[in-house]
Amino acid sequence: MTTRKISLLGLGLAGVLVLSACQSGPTAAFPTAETVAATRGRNTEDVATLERGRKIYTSSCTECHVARPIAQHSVEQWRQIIEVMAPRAGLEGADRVALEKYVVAARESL
Amino acid sequence: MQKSFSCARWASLFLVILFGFAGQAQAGARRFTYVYEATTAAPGPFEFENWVTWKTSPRDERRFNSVDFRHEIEFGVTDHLQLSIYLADWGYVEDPSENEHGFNYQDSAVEVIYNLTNPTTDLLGSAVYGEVKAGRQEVELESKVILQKNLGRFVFGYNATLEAVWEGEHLEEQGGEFSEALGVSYEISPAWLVGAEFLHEIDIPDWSQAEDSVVYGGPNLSYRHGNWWATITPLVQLTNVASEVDVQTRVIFGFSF
Repeated sequence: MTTRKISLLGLGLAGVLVLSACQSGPTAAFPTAETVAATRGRNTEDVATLERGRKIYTSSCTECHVARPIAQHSVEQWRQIIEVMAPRAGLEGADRVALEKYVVAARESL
Repeated sequence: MQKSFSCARWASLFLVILFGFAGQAQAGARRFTYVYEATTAAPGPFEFENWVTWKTSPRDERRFNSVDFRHEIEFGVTDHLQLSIYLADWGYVEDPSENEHGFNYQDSAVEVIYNLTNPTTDLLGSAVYGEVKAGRQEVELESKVILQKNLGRFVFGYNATLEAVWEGEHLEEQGGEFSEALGVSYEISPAWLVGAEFLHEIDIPDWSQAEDSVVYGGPNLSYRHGNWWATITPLVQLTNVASEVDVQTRVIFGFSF
């Protein structure tokens, strides 16, 4: 009986979580590319590049650690962090550029 | 007693050798050893992960001991698709009740994980998982639903797993297992993470009658430095199922190349 309850509880939880996952949205701690581009006004960065950078920040970087809120560090601190962390994450070329552009633009937009 | 020590010594030696090769690597570190995470590896680096799982029943008169090893090469195919190849699953078993002692090759496997949603930016991270194992007189299919949520420095993970196994000379014996794994991890610092994992398993021999379910729980600890990482989880049986092991401890050590 206990086993059945635990199993049903687990399956029910999984079902609810899967359904709730269908709804997704931006997190204030990690502004979307559109938000960053809109709030910066004079921003000339390509939105697609910013979106790519956000994706890297919230997926590749979180393979090893939780994503820190953008507001936690200054632009200069973020540049130093990326300098250290990008090689560890295997980020090179366009991906690294996109990450830095997003983090810097997002920080400046706050 | 002497054989138990010998068993542990083999495991220790294996870890020492592996750590020795971890000089210039990159990492995509695991927070858990029993719970899979919804995030997948980015395309590019290959990661080499080594698993060691020690199972024992110290209270049991059988004095059962086993150490299982898995060696996994993992890489991202796309931003959402990850492929893993388990080169060899092998182990050492010491089971006086079955008069079984020594090393054995178990199987090799291929695993695919497809990420659906992001645990950081979406309401809930999710992924689906499929694995095919093939060994001597054994074929196994395993599927999982993986759920994960990152909240600040906490990461919560949940897996529901269904396994189907065919064994025997002509694969005539069939069976299955349903299991759930739940984990929570807290990032104390970028290097140290602590948490807990729970495992709930139900064997279903012949797909007919489910056996007693067994629940394990225990703490986990993860450390990453530079470009390598290691995570350990000792689990103790929280139920009282005599046919299942009392304690199991898993260590996963990984680095990229």
